[in-house]
Amino acid sequence: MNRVLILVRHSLRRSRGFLAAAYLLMFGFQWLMILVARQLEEANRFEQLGGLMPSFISQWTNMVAASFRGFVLFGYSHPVVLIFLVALAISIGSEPAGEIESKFVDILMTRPLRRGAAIARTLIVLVIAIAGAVTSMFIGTWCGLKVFAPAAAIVPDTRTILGLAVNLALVVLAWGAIALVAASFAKRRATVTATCGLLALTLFVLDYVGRFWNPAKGISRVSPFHYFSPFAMIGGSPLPVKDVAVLVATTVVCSVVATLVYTRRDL
Amino acid sequence: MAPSSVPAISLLHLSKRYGAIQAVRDVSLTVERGEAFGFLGLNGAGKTTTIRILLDLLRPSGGSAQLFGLDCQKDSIRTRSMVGYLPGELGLYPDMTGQDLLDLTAKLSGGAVSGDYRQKLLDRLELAPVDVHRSLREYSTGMKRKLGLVQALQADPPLLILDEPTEGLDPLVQQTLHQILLELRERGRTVFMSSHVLSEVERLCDRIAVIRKGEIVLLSTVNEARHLGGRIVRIKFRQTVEPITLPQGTAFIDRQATQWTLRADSEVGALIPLLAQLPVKDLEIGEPALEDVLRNFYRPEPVDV
Repeated sequence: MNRVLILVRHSLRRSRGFLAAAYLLMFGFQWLMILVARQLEEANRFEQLGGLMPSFISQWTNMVAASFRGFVLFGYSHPVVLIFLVALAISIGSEPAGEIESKFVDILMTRPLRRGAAIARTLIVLVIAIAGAVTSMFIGTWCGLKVFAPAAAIVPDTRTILGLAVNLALVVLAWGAIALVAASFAKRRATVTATCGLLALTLFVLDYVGRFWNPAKGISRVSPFHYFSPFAMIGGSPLPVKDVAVLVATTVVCSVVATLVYTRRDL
Repeated sequence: MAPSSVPAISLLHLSKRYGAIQAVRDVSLTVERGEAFGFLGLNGAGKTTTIRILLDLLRPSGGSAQLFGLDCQKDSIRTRSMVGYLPGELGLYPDMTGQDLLDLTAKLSGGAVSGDYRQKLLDRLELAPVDVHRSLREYSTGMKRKLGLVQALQADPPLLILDEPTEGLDPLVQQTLHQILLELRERGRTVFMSSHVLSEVERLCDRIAVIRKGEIVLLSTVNEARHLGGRIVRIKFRQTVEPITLPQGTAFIDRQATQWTLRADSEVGALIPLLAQLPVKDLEIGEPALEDVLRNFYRPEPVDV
């Protein structure tokens, strides 16, 4: 078997319990959103809820909370989901630094492996873990709608759900790749997770500020969250190609930088 | 692999600097194929840094390191495929089992690992099958060391680099490991080991190098090193004796009322007529332990032994 795939298998095997729990949580969260949406739909509360929203929020969110369909789709941009998945990606992306800290690298990298294999491994694990998370969300939504959706409710279409899932996966993957760059420099996993966590939080806030405050709009483009526009998609827009391109480019550039740095450094 | 005339390890003016700290300075040495070589020095002397450069975990600031004629940095995949390595500090994930670690390192190794050979190693180092299937968090220090040794030896590589191989092992397993290493050397494998246990080095190694503050301060065969200390002469007297002027090349190491310990760098013949005039009860002439000789090389400023 290819040595990178041996490493991927090893990493996935070690984190299988954690990933299974995360997938279950993501699945359950979508069910929870559908159950709450059903309750609101049956009690005719969506109209009331829409009235309570400030106008700028209503405008920005395309009134997602004011319909069964919108509320269900909100499960793909809910801050809790976003923070959880970004934290998961940062944790996985910090693996190379963790191996240096634990000295496991002395066993691994003294085998006939290219240095880049460790970075490629983590990138593949990131893709698999994130794809698994959004797939479990998608399955959760699909099953939840089949079981709990009220007969009269307008349910979200598969294309929109898939678009949101892909955009969410790409923004989370970009954060994983950013963590990979930090891990290629660092010797301690906590340094990577703390730095990237703080950066993610800062850029998350910056993105929000940029959406409502024109002077910050320009600088908010540095935030990967800027390229995740769930409410436009919920409102009917297709998956923005430009956003996809920026997020994919971020991941690719970060992976290349991480490989170059890790290949040249002392372990 | 390169022709058999090419040494297993060749270091040429190797240096490694961390900012202002010079960890390794102008280290040059060769280790021939089939040789057992002891790399000695105090903690922080530069042993592990040198070893990590050989394994391409660290990049040298100057000079070159070669294994079997191949550059350790430019041809690192090929050089690492010929090495079995036991780190001084084993970083193991506690959630893995011993079997997981052995399987992972076997799959990542260049050559195929024989299941029979691995099992023999496990048996000889007293790691029972039930232990191998336990999670590493349940392992004692000694068990981890044994597992580390098996992962280093299992691919039967032409070169073994062992950092403190017997640390944490009980005396019986230490003896077994010595036997295994002697057998490997007989089969033409090269062993490069760092150790604090000089009796072990004395027993296993053909040659030694002592590194101090990043520099090689002694490079010789074990026998030559032992002779650097001269001979030790112990004399017991029947009664208290006054000190005498010793012949050239002889010096007091310890002087008590009825017992002297001398070091003789040259022949002891000149000492005999002097001793004949004294009430000698017993006389013992012996070779110094390697430990006594090397202790002087470990010190910041070497003193005459």
